[in-house]
Amino acid sequence: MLWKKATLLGLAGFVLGVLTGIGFMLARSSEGLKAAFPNLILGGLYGAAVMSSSIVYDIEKWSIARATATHFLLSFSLYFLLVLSMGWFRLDDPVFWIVIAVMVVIYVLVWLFQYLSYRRKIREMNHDLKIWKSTKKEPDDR
Amino acid sequence: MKNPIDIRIEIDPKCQDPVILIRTDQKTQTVEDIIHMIEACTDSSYPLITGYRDSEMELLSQRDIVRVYVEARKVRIRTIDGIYDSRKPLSFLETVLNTDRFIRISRFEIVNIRKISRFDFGMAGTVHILFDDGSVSWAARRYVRAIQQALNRIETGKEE
Repeated sequence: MLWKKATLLGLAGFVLGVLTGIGFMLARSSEGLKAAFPNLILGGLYGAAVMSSSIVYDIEKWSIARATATHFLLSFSLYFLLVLSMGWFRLDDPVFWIVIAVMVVIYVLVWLFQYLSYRRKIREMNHDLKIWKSTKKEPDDR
Repeated sequence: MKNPIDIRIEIDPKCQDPVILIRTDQKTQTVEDIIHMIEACTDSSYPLITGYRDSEMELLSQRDIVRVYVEARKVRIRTIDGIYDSRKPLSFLETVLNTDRFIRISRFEIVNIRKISRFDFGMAGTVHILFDDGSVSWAARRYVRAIQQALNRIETGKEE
């Protein structure tokens, strides 16, 4: 089941990666589509890897922090390797660092949003449990 | 030794369904237990669950079960009296355990919602469940909504 979901997400990620690559190509590069083809494929593969690996959030035993950190490390290392090895950005290119900063902010927000959302649910559940326990007639009311 | 309970059976042709009368001066825990055992035997929505401990078979009342979980590929039943093994898979037990009382909290576990003491949510983002008997477990996040709904159901008394 997880593999099926990972494959579907990977396909969607590939398309997104290619589209993002085309966007970058149009904005920053003057090379033709034929010359940019390998870069687009690699961009697609990066998108596929990032999207399919989001199934780490479905691993039941993993906490939100562990899943978010794992996904961040995977996305970050792939981005770092791909971008520098393909010469898409240089280390002194501000865009390289801006992308990393945006990634960090997004992942922190993802963790924060999920954490606050579940914390609220758990508080509601404890409240419901407390009310029920205070109103039940027997020690283990049926 | 005197038998603490006097059991009498009256055969009455007019009585189509059995009537059980408990005559007592006060409602003690023993009386409560008897009521629940009779209910467990007669109520098909709460069938007794077979558990094994030290190669002896015991019939467990659903009321006494705290959690049913998979550990080292074996299905265990934790009750207020200890831990038993089950020879049935978790998926089968899920169909037998009453849904008013039991809820799945992960791929590996079904719990008695009435034995939950409280929920805990740490900074890491893991949902811990603390039970009345002191045991602790964790719930998968995707089951949180179902647990919430089950709690609402028992709180508002909308049970079958």
